[in-house]
Amino acid sequence: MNRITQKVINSNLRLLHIITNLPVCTSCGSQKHHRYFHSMNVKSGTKGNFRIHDTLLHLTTPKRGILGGSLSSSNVGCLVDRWTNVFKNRKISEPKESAEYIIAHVQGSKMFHEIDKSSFLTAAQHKKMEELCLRRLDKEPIQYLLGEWDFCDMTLDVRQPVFIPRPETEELVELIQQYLKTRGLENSALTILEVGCGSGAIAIALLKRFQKATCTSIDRSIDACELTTHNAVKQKVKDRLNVVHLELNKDTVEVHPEFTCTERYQLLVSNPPYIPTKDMTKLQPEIDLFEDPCALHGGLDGLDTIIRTLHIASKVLQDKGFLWLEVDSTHPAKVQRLLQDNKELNLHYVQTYQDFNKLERFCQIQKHLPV
Amino acid sequence: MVLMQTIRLFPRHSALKVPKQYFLDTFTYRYPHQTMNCLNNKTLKHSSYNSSHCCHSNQFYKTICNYKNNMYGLNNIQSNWIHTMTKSEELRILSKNAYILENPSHNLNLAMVIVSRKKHTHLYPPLIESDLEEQFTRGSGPGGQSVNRTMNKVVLKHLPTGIVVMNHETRSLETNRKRARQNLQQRLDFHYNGENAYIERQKRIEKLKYKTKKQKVKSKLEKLKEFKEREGLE
Repeated sequence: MNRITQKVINSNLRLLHIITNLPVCTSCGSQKHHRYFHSMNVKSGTKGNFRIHDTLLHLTTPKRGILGGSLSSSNVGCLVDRWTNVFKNRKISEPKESAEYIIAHVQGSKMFHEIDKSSFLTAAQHKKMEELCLRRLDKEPIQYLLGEWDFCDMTLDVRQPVFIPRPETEELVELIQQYLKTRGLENSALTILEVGCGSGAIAIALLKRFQKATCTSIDRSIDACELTTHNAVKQKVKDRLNVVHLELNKDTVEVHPEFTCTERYQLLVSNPPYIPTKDMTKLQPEIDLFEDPCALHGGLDGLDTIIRTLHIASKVLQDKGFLWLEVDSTHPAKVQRLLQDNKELNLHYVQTYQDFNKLERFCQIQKHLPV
Repeated sequence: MVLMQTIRLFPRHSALKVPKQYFLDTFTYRYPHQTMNCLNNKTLKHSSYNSSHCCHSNQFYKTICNYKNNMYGLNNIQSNWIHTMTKSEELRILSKNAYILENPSHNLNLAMVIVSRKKHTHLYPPLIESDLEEQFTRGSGPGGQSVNRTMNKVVLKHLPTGIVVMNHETRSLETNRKRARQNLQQRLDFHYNGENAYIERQKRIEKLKYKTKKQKVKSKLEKLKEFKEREGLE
């Protein structure tokens, strides 16, 4: 049997198992369908394949099916209920939302409330939905399944293994915008540097808000750089965004032409990896299995990249330029102490902002050159 | 909620008569803390806002706008007439929508601005952040990078009135929060202003439009019928 048919059979087997909730194959308790289950083990690929399809149809026909009603003839509302139950049984987090998002996506909408619950899926849509739901059972994040997610007022593409932008980051963008607005810097030619761009969310959101700003984004992952470029082109801000593939080290930074001339940026934004090592073991499986650990793990106390960013900031920021950081809720105090101890950085801690969960999440730091 | 404003500019000439209807146009908005009447017949004198450096009328215009903004939350009104204002002139605010520029020493009305009453900026009750209680169905926890949730529903409660608004329109939490606030503002508007709420006004205007349209069609048909009868057709 070739590999593809094996894959198809496997996925169908799993689907069958999920729908019926019966043990698969030899260990199955159902005498009725034992014959069919055995036929799957037959080495002739195509035959086995057909049989499986037959079994599927059998099980899901109104008379014999456990769920009642064949899969393809039930409307969207029923499908969501069905898959919600499946996800619940498999202890997938957010079962209902997962089913809703997947089905809305298959129908070409963003939200479930936008589509008609009594509508039906076409054969192609149905196939796609099943594929996505199966991937969801592997605990793949919904954002990767859909391939896109909303960030502020735009829709960004997300791809594995690039870090998925979180709502806290939206708040960071909002904070920066408000701050610059009150200072009347909206229409000035801002120069922004973003460290660790991931999907490019922060940079693109800021560029969209400040029409005259220009931005440089650096990331150590080539996937992230490609995705940022892709998103920037999609959001039509590529002409003002410069993406650099660069690992943040003292050596690389000093050599790179982007940083050889110092004090050129007015604003440095970063959402660095900040999860401490001890918390890395407690991550959700969605994050642990699928997202790039490099974009999450910030060393023993989570401060590794933050410290590096501070060094960069003291070098490339203009006088009175700002550094905005998203950090773990334990970090603001540490960062503050760090800056007090290292006066030679010329960085002054301005303020800590809370996120929507009332956790201390955002640091605002300003550079003051000694007079 | 910025709406287009239309401004009718009366020509700048002597002894201008102000149409009577605009004098009657007063608005009262009831707020939890204060009752606001419009500044009827209150005069803003040029000199009272005149500091040493801002004698240019443009500056004065700005101070007026700021003043009004403070009082009403109005947006700046684009008008050129006030730029030409001289020192002895006064601006009399008849109502929220009508202003008269006059020269008291010569007893003259110089110009009058009427912001169209239909499309005036609506004044929403203020949303005070400390009055709001926000809840997220994302659940609490460490948050940040170590959590990946897709549920971005926002539940917003206005504590003084107990109005609760929910929003899960988009996949972005920040957008949902903004929309929830907008929805809450409209609900509060209805709560405090009742019939004067923006939505209610809009509904009435729509109704009126529909009515007049219907009447037009009716009269047209009647005329046609009359014409046919008169000419002896059919």
